[in-house]
Amino acid sequence: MDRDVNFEESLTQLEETIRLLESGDELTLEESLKAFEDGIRLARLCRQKLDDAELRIQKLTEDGEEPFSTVKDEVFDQI
Amino acid sequence: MELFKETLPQHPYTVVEVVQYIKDILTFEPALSDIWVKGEISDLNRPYSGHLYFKVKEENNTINCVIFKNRAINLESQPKNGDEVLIHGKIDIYPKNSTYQLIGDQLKPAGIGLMQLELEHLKARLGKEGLFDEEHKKPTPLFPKKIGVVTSATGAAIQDIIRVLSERYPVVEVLLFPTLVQGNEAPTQIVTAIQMANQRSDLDLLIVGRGGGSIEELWSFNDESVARAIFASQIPIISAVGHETDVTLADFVADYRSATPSSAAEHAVPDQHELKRKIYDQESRLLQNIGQIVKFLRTDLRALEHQIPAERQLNRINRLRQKIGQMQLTSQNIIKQKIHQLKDIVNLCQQKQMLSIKDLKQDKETKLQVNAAKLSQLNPLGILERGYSIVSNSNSKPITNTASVEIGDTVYIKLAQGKLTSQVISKEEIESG
Repeated sequence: MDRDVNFEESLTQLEETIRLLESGDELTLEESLKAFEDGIRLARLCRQKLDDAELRIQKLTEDGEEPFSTVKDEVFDQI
Repeated sequence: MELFKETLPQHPYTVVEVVQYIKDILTFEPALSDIWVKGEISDLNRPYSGHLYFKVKEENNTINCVIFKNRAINLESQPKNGDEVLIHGKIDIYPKNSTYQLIGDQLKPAGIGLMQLELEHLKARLGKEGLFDEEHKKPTPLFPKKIGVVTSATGAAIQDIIRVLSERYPVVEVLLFPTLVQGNEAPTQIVTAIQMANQRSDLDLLIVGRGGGSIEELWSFNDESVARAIFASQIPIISAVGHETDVTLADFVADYRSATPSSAAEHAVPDQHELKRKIYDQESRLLQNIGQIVKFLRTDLRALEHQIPAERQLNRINRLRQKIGQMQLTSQNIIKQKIHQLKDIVNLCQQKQMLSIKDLKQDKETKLQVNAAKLSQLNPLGILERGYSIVSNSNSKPITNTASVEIGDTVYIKLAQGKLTSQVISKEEIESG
């Protein structure tokens, strides 16, 4: 699974692929087949990304960024 | 007596005239007919009439006030002796005993009242400057990659935002800029955080806000410097202050005002369930397409087989047949899975009642018809591939009649693969029907 490509780009590519296939006069048989395979791969990639994703939260501190825990900390408990 | 008589005026003023004259002076003065007065309430009296009589005093000075019944019953808070208040109204004369009095129509506790008055002025000033104008509102991105959140690291707001984002769109990243969100230090910290966010290049949306609280606790978001920092931000900002009913200056300047931190997060990102449905839909379109292409190729192939049974063509036909076989296998497998997945979607839709099946079906049928129409024109082999060629003259105009060339002319023949340059050796006229 290609983790480097981001979700938004994959989704845009998927839409492009479908447009390409639907305006198919310009495509050879091989190109159509490739577009189809790309499309299916992208659709699965997009769904997989949504299924696998876990929200990444960073907190900006004086030293830079550090992970932010969603677990309530001490101060939060007091409120 | 004679002397005295001479000094007597011919036409002395009547009492009514004098009182009316003074009344006119007072009531025609704009500064006195729309006035806010601050002071302490004393001698409060509420007789059966329902009108409210009292004095506002400061040191040894007092002004008589009255708030008439219809106004008195609608006051935000009922005053009592000793209250510091702001009272709004107009100065008028009470002719019966020639006293002037303030006829009040609004009454506010002095502390919050003053703050609100100042806020109204600030709001009017910033509004005039154009800070709230629609033309300055930047659209929020459809698919944000990284969202900056300016709020307290320990408040309820960040927890709400994280919860909603995880649920709706977990592919997004969150960067928290921790700040105070109430007290004197808060505005400076919020401004600094917004500026720091703008110095980065990785954020495409900011959420600025805090959870609910008293008016005083939310007041940092009415600060002029905060409003200006929001206005100056290049990154689109969603404001998220308090509850539905709380509206601050920050909300007016922000590119999008949301009622609460949770709804800010909802507006910030798309819903993954809707996205998945969209992706499934696109996958079905892919399948419909490839299915149609296979079908049309098959028809073409059959035509070719009958027309040109030459050995050379047979190889091509066999190759094509193999490819079509492959495509069919791939698409059949996927269609099987697809049916399975579509069942899941239908169940999901029914559960959530999020989608009208009828609409979806109609939409798909329309798309299918459109695709079928498009694809019926599609002939991926091309006429040239079938062995036809195009003959053109030196102006690249296609030659369709022998009459348009002379013997000895150079003509160009376009084939499926490459081009020939030829010379006309002879012509044979054919009578056209």
